[in-house]
Amino acid sequence: MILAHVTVPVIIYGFFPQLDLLALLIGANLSSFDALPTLIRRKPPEKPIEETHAATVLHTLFFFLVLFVPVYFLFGFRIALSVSVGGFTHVLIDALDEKGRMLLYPLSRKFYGPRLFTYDFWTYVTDKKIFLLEFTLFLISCAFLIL
Amino acid sequence: MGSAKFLCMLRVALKEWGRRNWKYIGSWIAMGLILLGLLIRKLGADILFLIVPFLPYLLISLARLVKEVKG
Repeated sequence: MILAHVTVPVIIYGFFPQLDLLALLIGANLSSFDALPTLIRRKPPEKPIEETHAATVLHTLFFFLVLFVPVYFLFGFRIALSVSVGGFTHVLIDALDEKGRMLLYPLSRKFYGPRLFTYDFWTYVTDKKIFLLEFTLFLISCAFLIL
Repeated sequence: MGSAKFLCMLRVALKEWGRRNWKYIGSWIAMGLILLGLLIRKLGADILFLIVPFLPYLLISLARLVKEVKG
């Protein structure tokens, strides 16, 4: 999903204001750093689903469990929890697409998920149902940010 | 939603795709900008911690888009 990586953390913050919003958002977008190989590649792979993006350790729950420890020692429990919760939202939201994510890494490198949404960017942004879902999340998060 | 097989064959002619889907593109951009505005209002300068690391990604994406539209 696209905007959901911002709207879902905002909604979580709306329900749990004890968390740190910025840390939630940073955690929720850390995973996106593995999009770089996709952006600089010369030609698309035969199958979009084989992109490097979303196939690295950054898109695993394990990464955010491990990350919790150094962040906890550097910034404290509240920030560490917020970063990890944000990271979990990214991985779990992404796992809804047809690629799935390595949810059981490092126990398994298999991609798991309910395969509800398309992985292809161009199809994604013009899918009515997906747009409605993202729009609804957008409205709820706006309400939390304004109120 | 198309099957994975269909998606594999999909190659996008960006200019034509943009013309056909300008309503979606406009809506996505508007939602993104509104959200960004509200976050700036809420977080102030702290939002830079979130945005700055992704600026190179944005620039690379834009450069690719321009190249694809021209080519």
